[in-house]
Amino acid sequence: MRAGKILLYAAAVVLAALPVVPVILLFFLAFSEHPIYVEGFTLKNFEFLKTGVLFSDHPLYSRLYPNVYTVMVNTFLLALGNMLLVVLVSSMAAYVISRYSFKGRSALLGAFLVIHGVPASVLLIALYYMLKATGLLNTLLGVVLVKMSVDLPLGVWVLKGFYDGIPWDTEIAALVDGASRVGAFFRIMLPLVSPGLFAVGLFSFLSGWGEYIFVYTFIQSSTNWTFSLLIQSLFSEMGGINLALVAALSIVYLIPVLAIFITGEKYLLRVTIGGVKG
Amino acid sequence: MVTVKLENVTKIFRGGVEAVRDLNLEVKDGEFLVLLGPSGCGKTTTLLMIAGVYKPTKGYIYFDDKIVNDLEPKDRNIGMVFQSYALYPHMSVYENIAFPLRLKKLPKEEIDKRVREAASMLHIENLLDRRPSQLSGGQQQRVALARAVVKQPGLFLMDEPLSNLDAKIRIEVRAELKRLQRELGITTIYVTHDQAEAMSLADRIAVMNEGRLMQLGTPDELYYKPANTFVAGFIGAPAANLVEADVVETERGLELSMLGTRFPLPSDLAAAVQGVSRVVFMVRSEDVKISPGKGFFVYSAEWLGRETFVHIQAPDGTLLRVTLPPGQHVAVGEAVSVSFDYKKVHLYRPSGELIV
Repeated sequence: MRAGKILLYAAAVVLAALPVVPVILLFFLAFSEHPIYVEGFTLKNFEFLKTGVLFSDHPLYSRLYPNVYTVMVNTFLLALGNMLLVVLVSSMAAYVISRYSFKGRSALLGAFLVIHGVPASVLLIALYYMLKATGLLNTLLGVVLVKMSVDLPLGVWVLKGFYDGIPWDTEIAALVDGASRVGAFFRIMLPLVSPGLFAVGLFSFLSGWGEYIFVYTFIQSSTNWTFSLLIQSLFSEMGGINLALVAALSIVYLIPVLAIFITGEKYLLRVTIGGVKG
Repeated sequence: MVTVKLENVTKIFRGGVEAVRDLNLEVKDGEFLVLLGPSGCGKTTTLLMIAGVYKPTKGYIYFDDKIVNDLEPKDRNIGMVFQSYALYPHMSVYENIAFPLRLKKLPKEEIDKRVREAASMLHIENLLDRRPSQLSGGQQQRVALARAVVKQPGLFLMDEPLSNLDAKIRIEVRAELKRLQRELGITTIYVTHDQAEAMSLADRIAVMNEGRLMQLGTPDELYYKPANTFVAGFIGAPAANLVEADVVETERGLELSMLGTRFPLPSDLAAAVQGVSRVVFMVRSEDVKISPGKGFFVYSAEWLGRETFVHIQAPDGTLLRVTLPPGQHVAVGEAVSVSFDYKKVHLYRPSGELIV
């Protein structure tokens, strides 16, 4: 009985520790003196933070890689652009789908689910041609638009649920009180789904922040790189592997994500518990 | 204030559901009109058409002499109160009440003055800083009333505003509502399925069933002169007795064959049913008299304090609802005989229309 319990707890601890191991390894590696093993403690791996130049002591290599701060801004623009567009479009689309009945409504909803299920890599070639035709290839805007359209169905679904949860009476009350349909949307409906907007915004920000495959496919010039691409290229293509540097970059890449989760945790919890409640 | 007129109003929803059919109704200036009916009878649809949320499929709605079919809700100058209160949960009570005035872009001091006036009218001055979620149901409904009053509407629309409140608060808010309507003299259309509420509040009641107007009249008229079996069965508690009967001719005159026995008809009723073979006999529970005798049995008896409510089993097994006057008592199982106060009895055709 007692032994069984101890075994159970031991298993639980092992399982809980598993996801922590890579993070700890990453952390120690980032401060390691040796480029491949964890050994000693140094801040030299973070030296790039001073100027943003990688391999500053190696002129040939350093010219091959973009400035880290440019990469950071690019990543941020991609994430922010994706977040703003997804929130903007899904907040309005979900409202219409929730409140109006029109021909093809259920077909549209079904299509959203199917589209959401299609692996993005299936579309890469088609998207490549489309971006090329519109001149958006090798631009961040192109990637943002693609990313937004892939993330949109989920956002619409989530927010539709939030709108569905607001009683009709509340909206009718606003109309009778003197608001137009649009006025009621902005003054009453939007504030009431704000937890949903927050969740959708957060998820699409993070999804943009972590995006890899679209950036890899549609971006060529290194001045438009994002973090994921930079790390991947350091890791696989060039000789002289420096895992410690990769780890240091990864830590920098992680910080905004952690910051968002720590500050947003309160709101996120509210989302999962209650949705909209008066 | 405003007079509301509905002319041949019909509402058919997408999918062909006919919610309201050929409704004609006039609500006078300052009148308290109740739309009464079971759920699904079209009363809320009617209210929402008057509010401008739904557009009638056919027919016209007039405010005074103006057709308002295509007028947006915001331009109709109405105050509306809902069963769910429909307060805005993200605003304080003050903000809730001020909302209609903000939309009218009134100056700040004017808004403040009117919000406080409305709040004091409904005794909620001390709640202005709270959120709706921090209030009880009764308080929330007062806030909703204040929000409807504050814009000084020409017409009040109320959709079962008391149904979510518990019995004691309901009576309190009901009285408040009636007082408010009298004081302000605002034309009011009030939807409910509760006939007792309708009787106590209304100047006139419009009884609806299956999308149609069954009868329009004062509470008195509905109670004493129900126009059809639906109204007869719906108005009054306990519900009136409705019994199918055959009209039989004998040497003593016309008799009603029902309940497994026969009742001779008085001459005025007999004259009215001349030539009719089947009728529905309607009598209210207080108009049935019982006396010691035979043929009928006391099936159950509930003492309600002032009077006694009993079920009497007829020879054919039908149960009759009877209210005994104060002082009269019977025992369960006792054999009794039954007579009716024929001045208050009504006879209907089997299809439901009134004969007499």
